[in-house]
Amino acid sequence: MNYGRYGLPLEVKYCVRCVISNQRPSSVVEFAASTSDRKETINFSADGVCDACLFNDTKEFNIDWAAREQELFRLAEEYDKIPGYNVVVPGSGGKDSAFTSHVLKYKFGFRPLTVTWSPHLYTDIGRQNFDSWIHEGGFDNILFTPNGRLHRHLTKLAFQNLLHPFQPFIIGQRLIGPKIAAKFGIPLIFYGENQAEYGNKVSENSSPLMREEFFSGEASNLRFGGESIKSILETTSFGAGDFEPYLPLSSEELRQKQIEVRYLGYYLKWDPQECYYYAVENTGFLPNPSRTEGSYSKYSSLDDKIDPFHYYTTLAKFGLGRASYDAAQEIRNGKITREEGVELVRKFDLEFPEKYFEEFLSYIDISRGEFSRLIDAARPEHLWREKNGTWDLKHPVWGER
Amino acid sequence: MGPEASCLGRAVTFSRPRLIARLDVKGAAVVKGIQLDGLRVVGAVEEKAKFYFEQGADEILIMDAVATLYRNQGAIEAIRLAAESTFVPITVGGGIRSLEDAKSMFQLGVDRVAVNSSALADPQILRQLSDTFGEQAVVLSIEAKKVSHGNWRCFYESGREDSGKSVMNWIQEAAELGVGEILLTSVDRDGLMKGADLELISEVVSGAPTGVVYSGGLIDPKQILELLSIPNLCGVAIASAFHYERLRISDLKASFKANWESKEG
Repeated sequence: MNYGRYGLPLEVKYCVRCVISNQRPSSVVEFAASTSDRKETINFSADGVCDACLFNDTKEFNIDWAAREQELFRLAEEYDKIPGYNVVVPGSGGKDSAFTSHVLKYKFGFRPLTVTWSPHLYTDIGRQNFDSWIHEGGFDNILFTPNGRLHRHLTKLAFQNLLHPFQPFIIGQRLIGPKIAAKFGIPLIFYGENQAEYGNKVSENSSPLMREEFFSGEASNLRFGGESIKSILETTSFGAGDFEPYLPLSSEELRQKQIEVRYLGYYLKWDPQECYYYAVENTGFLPNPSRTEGSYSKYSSLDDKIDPFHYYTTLAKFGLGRASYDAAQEIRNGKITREEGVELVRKFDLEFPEKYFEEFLSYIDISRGEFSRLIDAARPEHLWREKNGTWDLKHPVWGER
Repeated sequence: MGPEASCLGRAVTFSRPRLIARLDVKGAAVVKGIQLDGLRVVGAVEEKAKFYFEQGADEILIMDAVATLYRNQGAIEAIRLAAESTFVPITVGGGIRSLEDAKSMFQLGVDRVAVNSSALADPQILRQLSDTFGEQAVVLSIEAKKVSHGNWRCFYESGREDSGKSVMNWIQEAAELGVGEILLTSVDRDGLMKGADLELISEVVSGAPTGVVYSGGLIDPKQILELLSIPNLCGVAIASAFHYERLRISDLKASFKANWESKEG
């Protein structure tokens, strides 16, 4: 197979079961990312099924979930010996972290400290759900808000250099759990679902532990928004100390403190829609007042005004927008058929996120013109064609034979 | 003609407010969301319709939750089977865009059609429908969402999209085009089983020129009984509380019966 921009396969193929294409990159170690990175993309089987769907088969048929649940009860017992908080649950109070924290505390008897890396710009419903999580769900929480001046600067760099404005957020969000755990001497961190469910290497799913490289590394190699710390320090007035929240734990510290990171999705069969129901019932969670731009659903990923721009950039770079990710997940979990998914993608994937556009531009301090220029410059030639100023996908999922 | 007399069918078929079983459907499946989103499959259309009919529902309301979204009528066969196996009025909503769509529903044995999205896009569809099939066969479906104090707006596509229209203005406008009844769904309360939006009901019922059926959040028998005693509220439509067996139609009817009989003397 030949590869084009970002290392994406030139021949676009869609999974025969869901609507994800072979252009979908796997999660990467974000603070190592540079502008020239060639992305590893989702794997397809010989008969055209993506790794995420294959993993779903395993989830559906080959895992003894009752035994896994018992494993979690045993783990809870083991950690019960630890005094005080015995697990850190990072999250926003959205449906997934609401489910994770609540079930761990109220069903399995853990004593969680929840920790939140603040969204760039809270939506009203996001802030309301966060408050309900703590007030109605009943949790201790540390809300960490990074230095907004630096966070905005890094977000801008990430947008300009990588067209990946969420990169600094992802870095912070991945680190905040382990850092708080280290600070409080809590030896365990629990996340909800493993990202591998969405198409990282399936082998990552056979262990409840998160790959260490996602949250540890040596500071000297770090890059943010495609630029090294050194270069940022040289060209701005920020000091080295400002980077504290973005610096990973050293492998040494991790080992010394014996902090483990686990996924609830390993122990309990993960179903995003059921998390929604659980969160509504137990932590006062409510969906968005109206449909999220770029997709059809109201209940996922709704706390950050910048979020739609993350998906808008994945649409430009990989031809996969928010509706593609949402629909693929719902197809796998049996909520909609592939035909419905294709229709939803056709209808919503290319929609421009108008609602918070001005706020996004002002957050990263760029003009409309530069935004469009960067977006258009990032569209790989093998995915997009331009006609009279309008960009169209060359191989949309709804255009398949 | 007083407001009660304009309650659709009430003067003719019903002497009492109606207890309606609401089936949100997708294809042959009955689904249920929360605030109309996150559709969980809770049964099959034919089986549920039959079950609620046998339990004593006064009417079956079938709302196709995805017809507008996908622009299809995937539930047709299921609706036909439901109509064949029940003997109470059936109202169908979701994806009715034309006289043809409505006609095909009536041919299946459906008694009235409920219209939301297409009427918001082109209010004249209401006039066409009522001129052709009679006002009694046309229900205006409203998905009301509160946007600020005392202010509700009409949503469509199963609560996904905001039309920007005020509920009260829309009711006045639509009434002039010929509407037999209003189906008022509170998006905010839908699926939560935490009670009705009483403010919304009082606002709408006092200003509505036709009878109103309310849907959204109903769970408490006492509250339901109180609602049904409001003049101009012709009925309530219940989904989650029936699907999740928090309420039984037969129990509700038994407890209401005593109440109504004492009133009717």
